[in-house]
Amino acid sequence: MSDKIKSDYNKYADKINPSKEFTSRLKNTLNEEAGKKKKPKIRYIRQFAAAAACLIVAIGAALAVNLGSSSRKPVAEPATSGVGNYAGEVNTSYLNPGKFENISWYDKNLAADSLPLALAEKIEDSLDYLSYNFENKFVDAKNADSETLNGIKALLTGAKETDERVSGEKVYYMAVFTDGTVAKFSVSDGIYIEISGDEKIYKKIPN
Amino acid sequence: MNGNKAGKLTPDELVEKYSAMIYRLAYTRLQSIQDAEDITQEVLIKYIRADKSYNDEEHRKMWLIRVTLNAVKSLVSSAWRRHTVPLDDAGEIPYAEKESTDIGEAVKKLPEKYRIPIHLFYYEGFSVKEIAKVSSMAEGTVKSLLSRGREKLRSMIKEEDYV
Repeated sequence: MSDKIKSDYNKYADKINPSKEFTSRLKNTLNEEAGKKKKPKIRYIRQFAAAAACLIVAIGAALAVNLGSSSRKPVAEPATSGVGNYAGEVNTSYLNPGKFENISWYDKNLAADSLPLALAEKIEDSLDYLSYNFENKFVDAKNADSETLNGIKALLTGAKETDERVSGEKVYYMAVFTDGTVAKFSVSDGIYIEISGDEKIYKKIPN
Repeated sequence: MNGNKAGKLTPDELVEKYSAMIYRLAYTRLQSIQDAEDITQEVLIKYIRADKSYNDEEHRKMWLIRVTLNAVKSLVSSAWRRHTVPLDDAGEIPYAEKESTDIGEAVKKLPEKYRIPIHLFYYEGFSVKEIAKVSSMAEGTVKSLLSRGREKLRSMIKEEDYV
């Protein structure tokens, strides 16, 4: 790039600045955030303590059931393959979603084409949290805010099966429900939906 | 801040020092004031919550840029945005003089994938290697994007002004 293009580009970019009003509001917001920074740690400590307590009770119950067995089989520990993979920013790991992964969140007898709507309804009725990421793992996943959630529900509600091939950028979602079941799905190019456990591809039909 | 290690910044210092950088980077890609403001706020809140220590200012800057790029990517990929945000949503050139927008108009028309490498290279002074690292791309890809981005800009701007 010639020096003139570079210098003109820099002059153009120099003029792109946030407004004074925005920076003033931003300072207030960040000062509030800095002020409450310590509180989440206390909440997480309580949640971890609760999770640890539940785990100890679960292991103890499992041990009690196995006492007296002559074969002395090892206790089946809670599934750990999911641990760490499903932690979102807000920790509800007491659900240990990995343990419930094999328990379907939906009725296998659902009519064809009904799965996206069923998922939207379950999210509406009993969602605990929805995580999303650009990879199919959720260690550093973000939790969806209400706007995201509404967008996902709208997308799922209007989706129908399609023969088209999936294309475009893919975002992976994991919905954890209050009954402990988990639904994993992805959205490609903003309109194609694939739901884990189902072979079909669904596409959002425009209104 | 003294010494080589980057000291902690107060929220006000953070805004003064880095909000424009983040805003500019987000706007370059998204071409929307509202989105650029949202990204700027999101990134700086993440900075405060992360409460990390940084080896030096460059380390801090790289962290902020990496998080900004991830936030922009996340916004671009969100399903409902693709259906609810018109492609020409911005339609506004923030604070730029309209009479000198040959380069501004060219950047606006430049395909999205070229804008970030061009901006990081020419405005932030990043090397190809640094751009590759911060945007999780291969160096070859960055070089290719820079080269093609330059060509496209050149073709959109009046040639006689840039001999």
